[in-house]
Amino acid sequence: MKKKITKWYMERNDHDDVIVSSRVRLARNLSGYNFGRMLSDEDAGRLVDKVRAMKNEIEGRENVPYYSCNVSKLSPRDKEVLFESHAISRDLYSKEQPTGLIISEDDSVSIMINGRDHIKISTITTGANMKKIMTVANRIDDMIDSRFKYAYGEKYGYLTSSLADVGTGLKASYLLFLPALSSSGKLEAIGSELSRFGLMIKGVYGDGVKSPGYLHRLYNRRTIGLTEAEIYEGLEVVTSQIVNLEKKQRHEWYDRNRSDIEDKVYRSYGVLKYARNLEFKDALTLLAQIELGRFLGIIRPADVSFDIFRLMMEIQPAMLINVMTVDDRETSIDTIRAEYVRKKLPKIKTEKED
Amino acid sequence: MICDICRRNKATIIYTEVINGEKTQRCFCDECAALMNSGLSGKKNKPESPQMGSILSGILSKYMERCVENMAPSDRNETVCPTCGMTFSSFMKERLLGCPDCYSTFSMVVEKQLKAVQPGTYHVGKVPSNPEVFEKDNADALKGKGKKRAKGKNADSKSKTQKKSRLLRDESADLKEQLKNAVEAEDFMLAARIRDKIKEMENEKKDNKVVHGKKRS
Repeated sequence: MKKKITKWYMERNDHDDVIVSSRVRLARNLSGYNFGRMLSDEDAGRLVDKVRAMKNEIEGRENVPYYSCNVSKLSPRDKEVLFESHAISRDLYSKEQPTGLIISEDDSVSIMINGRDHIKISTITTGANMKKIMTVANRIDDMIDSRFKYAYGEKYGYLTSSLADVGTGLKASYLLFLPALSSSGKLEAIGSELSRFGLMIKGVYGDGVKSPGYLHRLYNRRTIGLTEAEIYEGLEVVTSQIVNLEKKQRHEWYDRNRSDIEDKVYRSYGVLKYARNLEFKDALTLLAQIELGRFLGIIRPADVSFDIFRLMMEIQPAMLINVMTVDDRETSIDTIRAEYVRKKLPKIKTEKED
Repeated sequence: MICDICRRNKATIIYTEVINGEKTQRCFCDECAALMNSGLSGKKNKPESPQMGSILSGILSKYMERCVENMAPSDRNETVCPTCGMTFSSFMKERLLGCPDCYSTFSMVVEKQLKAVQPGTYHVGKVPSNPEVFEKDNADALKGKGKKRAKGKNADSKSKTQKKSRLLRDESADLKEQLKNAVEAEDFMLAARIRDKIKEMENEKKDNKVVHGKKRS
């Protein structure tokens, strides 16, 4: 997996200032097997082998290279990389039973086998494009459906091991960059408002609403009683409102605290440019300030193709070690991270130049 | 040596684990070890970090599970799923079901829990090409209908009734909210009226269900 391949997060859609990525996950179980927790080791092995055998068919239909592997046999580091690129879930990551994975070359489509549910189809893309990834997920779902019999009940729909997924088995989510809303404390109020719509928002790297890098995941809590389209269209509508709120808040914030924010942005750039040790969460927050500065027109990266969210992905611990291929156990990860950021951070044009 | 968890601090604790004769060694710094013990580790999702504090309880719960497994079903004073052996208490503890049949085995709790986790309890979305039905009440209804289902007229009429019942549910949820507000505002006349309306609606729903059931058989 160490070939130079363009991963999904390296692709730049029209850069969205708030929506970092969109993701869809479909939970499915096969009839004739017990669910995750009650599944015997033999059945787990059989399940993984059978579903993994779908790889060639999926590859043929989708017309892009796919890989398949036994996740449980991978090294912890490889598993971490897959986890950090959102290709596998926490359940799959930590399971001791045989677990499998079918994954597209760019990591954008993954089929997790024997996590909390037998099958979880996950599709992801940068920016906002729920419809596209939903179509892909549905296509893969139909392919698997044509080969296997899903556990399905007329009343409860797709039966899942957790009642939080039952019905459609669909969890659609947006990764949102919300520096203004979360700094101003408005996110808490929005969070409780959202629950009325059956939606939830949570920090990605931290607990609760505060999250380093101001990255938050907005997703549907409700999975039953609505059609798939109703779920993701509802999410889309609410998200677009949050996006507008966030942008408005950023400008208002800047108007009120001009020098404060400018200082923060430049200071962050300075630290990132010259620091010799960078902790992951600190680096996220500093990068977030720079992105905010870019949005507000305080600074402009000289390299237009520079994508801060891609850099945020790449400085995650396992990803970083993978990219640097430094296996020197005595070099601190923070030193490697600082070096990597220094190398990738573009020169900036300030507002007064040009 | 550097700590395996944070890869930052110097490791001071070497931890050797022997499972089935396979030896693995891990090293941690004081900070990470302390975090692990209190179960507050920011990296607690990583399987590689053994939760030292929970190792013993882990062993104990495995042992307890064995004991339960070895018991004859009659010795147990609780519902057990005949298909997968999931016990009621274990379901309540983990909040995870063991197999499709658990949905009918624990139907009472499933319905209750579902209402707590999800506002709706009736699936109206996508249908697989060849559905096999696990909930007991519906199993008979589907028999003899052959393989292909759901995409014809049948599905249309069904989704209509589903939509109707969904509307009813939404409305009653709305009313309940109103009732709550009325009580909070101490407007008891209004509260009484809303309460009656809810009752009326629930009766209507029950009637609907009976009709629905008859249609199927």
